[in-house]
Amino acid sequence: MNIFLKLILKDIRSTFSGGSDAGAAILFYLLAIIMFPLGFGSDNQLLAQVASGAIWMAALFSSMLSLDRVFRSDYEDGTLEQMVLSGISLEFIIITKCFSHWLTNGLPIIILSPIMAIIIGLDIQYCWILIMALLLGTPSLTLIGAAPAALSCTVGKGGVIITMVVLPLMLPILILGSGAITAEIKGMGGIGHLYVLAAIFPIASVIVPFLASKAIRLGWE
Amino acid sequence: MTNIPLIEAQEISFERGGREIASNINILLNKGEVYFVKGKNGCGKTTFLRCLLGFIPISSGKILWYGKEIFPIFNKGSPRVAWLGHLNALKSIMSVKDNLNFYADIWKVKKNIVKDAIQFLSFDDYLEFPVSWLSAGEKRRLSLIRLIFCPVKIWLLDEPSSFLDELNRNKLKIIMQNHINSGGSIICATHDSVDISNAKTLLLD
Repeated sequence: MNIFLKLILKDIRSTFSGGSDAGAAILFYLLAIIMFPLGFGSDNQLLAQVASGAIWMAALFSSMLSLDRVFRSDYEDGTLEQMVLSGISLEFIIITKCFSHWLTNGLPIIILSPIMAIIIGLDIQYCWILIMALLLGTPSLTLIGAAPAALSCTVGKGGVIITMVVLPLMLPILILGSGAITAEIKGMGGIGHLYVLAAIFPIASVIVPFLASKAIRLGWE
Repeated sequence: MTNIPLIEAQEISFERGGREIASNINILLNKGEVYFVKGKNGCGKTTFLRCLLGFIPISSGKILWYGKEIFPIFNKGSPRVAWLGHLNALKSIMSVKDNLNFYADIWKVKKNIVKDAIQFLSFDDYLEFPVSWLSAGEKRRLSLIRLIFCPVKIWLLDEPSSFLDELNRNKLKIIMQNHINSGGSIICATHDSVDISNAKTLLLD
């Protein structure tokens, strides 16, 4: 447990001590949502309809933008090798890295989402389901993106490859997440969507550490 | 119990990109021994060390660590080997102090041991600098500091003297000699001729 905190602290420190994409990814999330009203015009009703989709799209792209750096810097400078040789299992390292990615990307997205909802015209009474959906969905976004991120850091520049591989995998989360809010607005209740969304997380958290560690070990060969 | 070799490689062969680059290599590393791995560029010195660590699978033969077939990269718990590869494993945006403290923390090393290592390589004045401000030689020295305080008996070094100046090459020799004298063992891939007592040489070609 102690070592878990130390690894997270190191990740967060090296994320925030300048020159990283973490802040940029959050800024992207803000700007992308602000762009929507500009693109769609000031029709409040239309905006309210696309609001949930807009927020989810922005969250998904923001997560994807920042995923590339999750393993890359530690893989390229040899830190990952040193940590594994220090007797910390690679799967454990991957879990801590996913967790710190969520802390620096998923969590700010959730915290900012009520403000974003108001900006884009989503009715305040649906904010709770938006937050719930993001709370259940963003950890899975991180996890599902982590395996391709691990694969891409072993093949050099991977920004575009990640996008190609990750987008189809993230579709269910996007559909369920924004579907929950739409269903709630239409009065059908979005709880069902949330249940399925919640079910993705445990499955991903079991499978991803093994896939990602396999990818990194292949890179070392 | 005491005479189990630390590392034993039996008849190992390895390949890169489908091409076999070395075959039937034997090595037996005991307590207090030094092996220098020598050979021309591309003969597989780095690959050999990475095979020993378990990063690269061998195509035939057997590698035993403390008499068991468990590679360091799969070993859980405390570290068994210090590895100084081509990569310095330093976070360039973190300060020198934070970089060293991170490893001191996960290896559970006492503060005064770290301090002594820093003093030996005269790095006191750089502690607050971010690593990105250091030169290639200084980064190498920083990884040597980490090597000194790593609480393990076995060192695997891959061209440790690269980027180092004359003074620090001598210091490196002293560091290696001290490690041997205190009962440690070293496998070192290098092009230099380092004179250390009782050193064995493994020639790859």
